[in-house]
Amino acid sequence: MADSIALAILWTLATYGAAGFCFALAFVFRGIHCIDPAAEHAGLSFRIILLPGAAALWPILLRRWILAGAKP
Amino acid sequence: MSDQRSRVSMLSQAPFYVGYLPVPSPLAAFLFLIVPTVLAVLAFTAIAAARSQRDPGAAVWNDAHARQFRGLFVAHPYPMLLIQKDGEETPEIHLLVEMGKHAGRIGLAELNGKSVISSGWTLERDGRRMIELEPDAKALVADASPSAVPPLPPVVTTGRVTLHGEIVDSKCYLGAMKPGEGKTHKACATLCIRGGIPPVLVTRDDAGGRVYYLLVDPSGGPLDPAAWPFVGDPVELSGELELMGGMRLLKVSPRDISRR
Amino acid sequence: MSTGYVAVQWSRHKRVYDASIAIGIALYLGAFVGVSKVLWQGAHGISDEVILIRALGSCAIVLLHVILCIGPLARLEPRFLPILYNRRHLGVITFLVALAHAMLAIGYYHGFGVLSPVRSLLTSNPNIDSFRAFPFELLGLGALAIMFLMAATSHDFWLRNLSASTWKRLHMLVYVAYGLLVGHVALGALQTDRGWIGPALMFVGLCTVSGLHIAAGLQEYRKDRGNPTTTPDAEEVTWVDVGAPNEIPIDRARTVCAPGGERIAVFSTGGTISAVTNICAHQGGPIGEGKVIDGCITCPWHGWQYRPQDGCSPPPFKEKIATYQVRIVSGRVQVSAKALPPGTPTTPVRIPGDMP
Repeated sequence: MADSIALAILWTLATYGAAGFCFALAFVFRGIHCIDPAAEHAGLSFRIILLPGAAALWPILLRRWILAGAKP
Repeated sequence: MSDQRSRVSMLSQAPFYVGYLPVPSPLAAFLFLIVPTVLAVLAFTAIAAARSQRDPGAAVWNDAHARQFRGLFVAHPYPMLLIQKDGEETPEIHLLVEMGKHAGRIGLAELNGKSVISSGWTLERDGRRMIELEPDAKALVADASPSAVPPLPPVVTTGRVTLHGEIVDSKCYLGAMKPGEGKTHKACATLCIRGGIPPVLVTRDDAGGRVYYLLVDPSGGPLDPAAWPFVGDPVELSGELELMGGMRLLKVSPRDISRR
Repeated sequence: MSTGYVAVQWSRHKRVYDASIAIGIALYLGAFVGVSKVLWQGAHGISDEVILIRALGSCAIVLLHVILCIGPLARLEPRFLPILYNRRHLGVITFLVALAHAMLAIGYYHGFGVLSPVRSLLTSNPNIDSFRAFPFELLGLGALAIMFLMAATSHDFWLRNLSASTWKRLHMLVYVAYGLLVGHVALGALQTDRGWIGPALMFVGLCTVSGLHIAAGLQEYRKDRGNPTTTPDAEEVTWVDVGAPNEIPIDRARTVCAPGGERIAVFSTGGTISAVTNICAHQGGPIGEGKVIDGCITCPWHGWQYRPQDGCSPPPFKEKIATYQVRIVSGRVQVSAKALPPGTPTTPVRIPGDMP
């Protein structure tokens, strides 16, 4: 693999991951209640184990969060 | 029909497992059989997989105690130390590398062709020795009172040869990593050579012994980076063979290397 | 099921299960390292890091084989179901073992150099156009990414919020990961240590996994094919023959296949017959292999429960599955081939001569 492609992949992944991690923090403590009311009273450990998944799948969850927020 | 009935009634009474309820005793008995069996299969597989590894060869990295060596420092094509032993006609040639996957950063310009004292750890295989320099300023210093400065051994050109073998990085192969060859080590060898560790072609002679060729560019400089993709693979290459003291130098161009 | 979420719903079974996995991994790593240290000593010793990298990598792929065998084994022999129950913990632990292998290998082979380890990983072997010299590390990296996604989404929260079908599709990627890992091993380790044991182990693993899957698939196929006689009635409803009422085990089900291919679980309990879909709302488990416990149909995979008469989970749970109309004609149970919307109440049919 060419070095320039490798660097581009690295930077893309790093940016995606960093954005995902920031989103995941906000999501597991706030947004999660909007898309799944059952998570309202869930404990800290439950929220922490969702972090990696939320950081990886953040575009899907962000869309859900926005859609859920639009509904009254 | 009675077969069918008994099968139906047997199924009605068959033990049924639910994770949050106690395990029915016939199922528990089955699990007491299965779980140890799986554990035994795991252990057996581990032993078989461990046995499938190959002997990495007798190579030693004496990284416990640093030693001092006096000799002539030659910076090109790769840093090396020529040590004259009493009664020997030609000097011993030791390649000099640094810690990690680096070489060629210490003392190149100012010490080239001078008598030096170097301090470091040795790596040895098949009677070849390499010195890994200590990371401080004492690693390579000018020798104020050299005892015996060896002359540069004459370079003898023997002609064009075609060889089969594997290009390895000399540091890992001489004992820094074991094994320091093969496909799984390919990336590491490439990184080492990129960092200045001298590349070496290892071939087998008719008796099965290993023969080492230090690889250089046709101009005599370090190996062309275009040859790096062939590192760690079985290759055929051809080039000009030169002998310098006890060391074989192969001048090779990337276009004369092919994967076998 | 779904009322409030917790990180892990611990039970004694899960503790014993996880402890068994820990013992298994310790046994594997211990045996591998021990044998390596005894066989190659002194100047011939293999580097400690290399032994660990190999032990962790081979351990992860062996565990993946175990994971892949559990599904078909439980289909072929229901007594394996307790091992299926907590399979996701095994999956997460397997990912962690694979991650340890990857981090150690990347640090050791790609660290200490003039490039950052990840950059070296992506650039040090450019031979993507060659089969034998292919950068096998990328295959392992792909498999690790899939295993990460699976481990990260293993909680039931993801099952509910990604939708069951998306979640199932995501987790079917385990077969892609397995394929990538076979390539990773074949183009990596097996090319380095060219003996017969490594390829033999991989071959046995591949045959076991594929053989069990084929056997389980054949069994399903035979079940479906052995089934139904259908009779359309005046209102164009197709009725599928299930058999005589006493051919359905008490508190258990007989599964039939509708002409459209969907499987229907017909249960006999308390002297009545009722029918629901064979697919559990949780992970698509085979409800027809379940049992009626405390008046509720209980899925054999994770114990999710539904009432026979309306396919609803008992309160406070809210899951629903499709139900089917049942009738008894000339001493034969028949089930309508048309599914009713999930949670639709039906009238269970009383078995003639069976007193309440």
